[in-house]
Amino acid sequence: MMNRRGAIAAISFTAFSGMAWSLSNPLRLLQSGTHTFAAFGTQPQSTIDDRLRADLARLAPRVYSEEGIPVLLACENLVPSKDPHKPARVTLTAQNAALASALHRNAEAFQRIHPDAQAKDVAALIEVLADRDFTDGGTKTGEIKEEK
Amino acid sequence: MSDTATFAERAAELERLWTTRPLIRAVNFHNASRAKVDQYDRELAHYSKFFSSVNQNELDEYLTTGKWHKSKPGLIVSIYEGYRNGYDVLAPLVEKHGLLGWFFVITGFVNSDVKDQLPFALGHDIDMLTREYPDGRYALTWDELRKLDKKHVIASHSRSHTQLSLLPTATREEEIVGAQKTFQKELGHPVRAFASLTGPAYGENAETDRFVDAAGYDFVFSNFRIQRVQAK
Repeated sequence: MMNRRGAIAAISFTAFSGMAWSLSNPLRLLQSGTHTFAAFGTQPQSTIDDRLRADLARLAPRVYSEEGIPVLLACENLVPSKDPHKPARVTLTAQNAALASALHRNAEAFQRIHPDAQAKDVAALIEVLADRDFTDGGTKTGEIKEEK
Repeated sequence: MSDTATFAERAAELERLWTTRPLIRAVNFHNASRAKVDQYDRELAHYSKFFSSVNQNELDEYLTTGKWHKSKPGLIVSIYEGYRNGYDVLAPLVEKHGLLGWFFVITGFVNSDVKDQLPFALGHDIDMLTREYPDGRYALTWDELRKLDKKHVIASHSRSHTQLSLLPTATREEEIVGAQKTFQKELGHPVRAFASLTGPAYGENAETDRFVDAAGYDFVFSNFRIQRVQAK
């Protein structure tokens, strides 16, 4: 579809597994950055950077047109207002908090690794997060229990 | 999303989206080489262990409520362009693993004569790295699409896979509304989902939105979102 050229791989949401998240004010939670994440056992920067660097390198050789590329898509219901800025209210889950915080931490890491990163490079980051999530089978986002 | 955004701004936009909207998984296929059947089989087997199929009504409900009713999270298997190998390579594997394919079809590719399909592909950003059909037919036929339509989801990927925002009004209407008319004629019903090249979202271009509405699409797929734009 989208003919994006990017990259991808699996996430460590260990800190969030099984955690009951309150999403009453998720933006405030996320905007507070590493200070907040530290409370949930955030990995050291160097570990995050190393893992992201490795995943980007591992996924870079993929031939986009001939492989199945995992992605994560946000779902918006625009029917009530037709305004993308005012979607209808829906139920959110632990998955939102887990993946959004992973995006936050890895976006910071991506910029440390690639200080000249451009907006289009976010696609590669999303693909890394999606690949990690798919590899883990969604078991690290708190949505479902890991099968024994 | 803004064309002039920085990496940090784009990441923040997505973080906001991921924090406030339900998320769904998708895996995007294009040209499915027969040489990679074992790889596709392994991957789809893994996915089916953890994720479940998504049909259009299930997506509609999820978009409306954010609630998912199956025990395993949903996975949309998107198969883009309308390559012939979507029918004889991917569809059997998708079915084998109990998943559902969403075939985003470029109607102009399918409607091209066999001798014109390769030039059409090369001229419309349809990758042809692997060419495994000696007879030169690289696109699905409408007969194949009608068969797929019974088990899977057929969706619109516009008429000719071009950047809609660069097109004059009449051509853009053909790409969006014209493609829907072709689906109506060939499948006997309109399709509900639409995606265009480079995947701009609903709300990013008023004229494109107007034609999406006129065509009666319910869902718009883009690079980072699926939007429900019409109630069925």
